[in-house]
Amino acid sequence: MNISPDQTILLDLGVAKINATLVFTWLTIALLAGLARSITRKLSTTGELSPWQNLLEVLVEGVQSQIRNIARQDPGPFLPFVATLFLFVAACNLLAVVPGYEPPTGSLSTTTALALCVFWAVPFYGIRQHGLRRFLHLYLEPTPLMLPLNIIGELARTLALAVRLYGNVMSGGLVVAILLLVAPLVFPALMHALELLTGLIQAYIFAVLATVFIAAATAAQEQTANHSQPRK
Amino acid sequence: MKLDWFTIAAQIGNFLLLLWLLKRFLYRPILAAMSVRQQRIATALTEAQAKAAAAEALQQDYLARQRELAAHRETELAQAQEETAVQRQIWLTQARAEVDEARKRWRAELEREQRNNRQTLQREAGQRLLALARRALRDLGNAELEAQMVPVLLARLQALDGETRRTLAEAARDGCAILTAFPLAASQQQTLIAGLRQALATDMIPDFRTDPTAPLGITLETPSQRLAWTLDSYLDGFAAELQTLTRPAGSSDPSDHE
Repeated sequence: MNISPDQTILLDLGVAKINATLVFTWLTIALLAGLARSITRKLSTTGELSPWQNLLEVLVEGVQSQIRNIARQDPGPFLPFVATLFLFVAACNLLAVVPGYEPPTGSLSTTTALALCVFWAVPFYGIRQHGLRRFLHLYLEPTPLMLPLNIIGELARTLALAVRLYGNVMSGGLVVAILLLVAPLVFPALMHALELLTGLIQAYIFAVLATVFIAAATAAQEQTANHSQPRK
Repeated sequence: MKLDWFTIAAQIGNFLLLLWLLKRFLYRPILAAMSVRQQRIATALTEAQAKAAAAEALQQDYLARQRELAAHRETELAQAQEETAVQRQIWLTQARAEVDEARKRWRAELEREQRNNRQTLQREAGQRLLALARRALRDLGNAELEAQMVPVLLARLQALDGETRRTLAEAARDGCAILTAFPLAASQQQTLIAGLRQALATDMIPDFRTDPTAPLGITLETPSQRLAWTLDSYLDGFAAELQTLTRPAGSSDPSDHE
């Protein structure tokens, strides 16, 4: 039994092994991009909105509102990154109910890749907003002795992000597989329904944590800047 | 379980690709559409606020004009009332003045009429009294009364100044007459002749004549002079004084100054 779609190799090109994770990721990307393209091709700017446009606007507005509430900052710069994380994870988890579909988020490689994206996004937004020097100075706060602990904290945070999402999705799939062996009639369907809820919650948690990390970095930079300005 | 670094790298690339695709096909158009609609709503709100402000301003202007009109009306009303009161006071004053003037005129007219009536009455009473006195004296007059007048005439003659007596004496040389209403007794004639000769220093012999229509008294007549003492001369003097006292208004009557 494969506990990760990484183990399902569909095409072996030596170093590059095209596994089920990549294929289902591409399918998900194509589905999301195609859906977005088809909906946004005919957008209405008047009062009459199509249901799909209304759904997307509610989605974007909701993400903006969440970022604004959590980060207390303008959601504009973070919106594409956070919303894409949420949509991708949610789409992968929701499509898990489709027979034959193996969610890419059940692969530790995928969750690690997403956690690495968050890991790099934090300094990216921090440096873009406040500059490299001030961002690096954050790791020396409150004292240079905390530099090793700050670095370990960054790595642990990334690891926790990756393992949390992977463990939840993978465990959900395993529980359904095990229940199929024990009680194949009713319980797998109930667990699948529960998986839909769990998947959405995991997507929300992953996006919120990414927002918190990025906002913490930018907020810390702002606080450092606020503290350092009177010294000038 | 081991990490497949190729898959990790590929998934990072896939995620970045999805990020780019969604940014191009989802976030940017949706945000643009939302922005346009928001702008339109903001514009509509601004227009609505502008219209509301204009309506508010119009309402305020209307209310201000209404207040101004009310104040103007109050002012006009107060001014009209004041003018009416002033005009009423003027007319009342004029009416009082006219009434006072008319009353004065009426009173003056009444007083003048009363005065005229009183003067007319006085004059009439005087004339009647005079006529009554004349008639009474005429009725009471007789020879004895005339005889008592002889000494009076002689006394008056003595009271004349020398020039007058000389003039009278020269006139008497051409002849003189004594005129009475009743015949004088001889003694009285002698007394009278003696008195005349003494007073005028001439030997005159007067001619005694009697005229019943003559006034009561004695009259000495010469061709050019006349000396008389009669009751009529008293009555004439009384009539003259009565005429003076009952002179009509407008003259220097002392009653005008009451």
